[in-house]
Amino acid sequence: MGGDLTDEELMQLARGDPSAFDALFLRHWRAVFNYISRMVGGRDAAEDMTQECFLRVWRARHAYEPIGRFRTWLFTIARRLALNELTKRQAQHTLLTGDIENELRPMGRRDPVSQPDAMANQGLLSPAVADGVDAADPQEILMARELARAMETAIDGLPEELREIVILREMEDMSYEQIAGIVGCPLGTVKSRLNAARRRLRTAALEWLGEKQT
Amino acid sequence: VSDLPSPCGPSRSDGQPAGNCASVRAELSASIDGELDPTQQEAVERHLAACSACRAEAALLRLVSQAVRQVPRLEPREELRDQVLGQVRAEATIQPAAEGHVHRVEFLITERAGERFMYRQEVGAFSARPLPPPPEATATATSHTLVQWHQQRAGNQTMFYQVVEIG
Repeated sequence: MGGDLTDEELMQLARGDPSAFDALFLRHWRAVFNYISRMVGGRDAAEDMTQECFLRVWRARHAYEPIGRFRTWLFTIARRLALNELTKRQAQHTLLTGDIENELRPMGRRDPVSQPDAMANQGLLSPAVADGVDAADPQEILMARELARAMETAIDGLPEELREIVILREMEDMSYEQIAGIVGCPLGTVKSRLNAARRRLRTAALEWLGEKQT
Repeated sequence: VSDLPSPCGPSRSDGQPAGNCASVRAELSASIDGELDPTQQEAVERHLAACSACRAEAALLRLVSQAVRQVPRLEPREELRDQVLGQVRAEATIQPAAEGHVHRVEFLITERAGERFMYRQEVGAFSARPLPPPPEATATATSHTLVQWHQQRAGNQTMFYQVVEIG
């Protein structure tokens, strides 16, 4: 079930037909899990929260009104669960150490490579590699994978208010408007946070390049 | 960035781009996402056409964006799917509670990661009317006549559940 139906149509059908909910779940469960686990870390906790997220959706099916996009609503629930978990962990951490600074794991402000065009101008990675096209040569594919790994580490190191924006934009391909709806902030804030996040990721990419060249 | 002369001026002594470049770079992230209005986008493109430093910066941001999109997704275990859909099926079979009553559903899921897990869920949505707060203290096995445990296969695990009506 669900092939041509929109999320919103499936959600309405789910009121009387659990298989419509199955289809909705199968469309989104991996994305929700990825988002939550990137936000909070830890497979078991992320799976528990993913389960809780979808059960909340299921139990709210009779009250659901398709005013906005289902996906925005779904990720709003997922985000609330993730933030509650982070708040709980921070409280526990504060109780234990009195120091929450490390919990947020902000990236350093080092920017040892000052030429922003180093990678782009040197043609280190071709557009084919960056787009995941098969035509790239094995060396380039390897470097693209290494860069993606460096980016993964850098994303994990972003403060949560920047990390969530990057995940929603780059991994879930959401528009600024959708992200603003989920995060509950103005469009301008999405824009400035994404810009700030990319500046940090850019710095990490240049650091990675610096290490490759030494 | 609506009216940017180009090419831009020299960098400042602290290494940051000067004047027009700084304002363009603040818009580059939104520009590569196609999130600027047409006037702003045109102004950025006009500046990039004349400024190699900002052009390189835009290319770098694009590369970073594409690299982030190559980061593999974290994948849940397949058991999670069975667990959620099994619980949904179990709840879907529950009949509405008598008016003013609450259903308490207790799930016992076996053999998940070698451990047993007990979930207790209030399922007030199945009641016909707004519900009073659940009487936590009375929701014990000893204060109610337990109905039989229902059994349901969910993928490669067996799930048991029971419904307890709380007065």
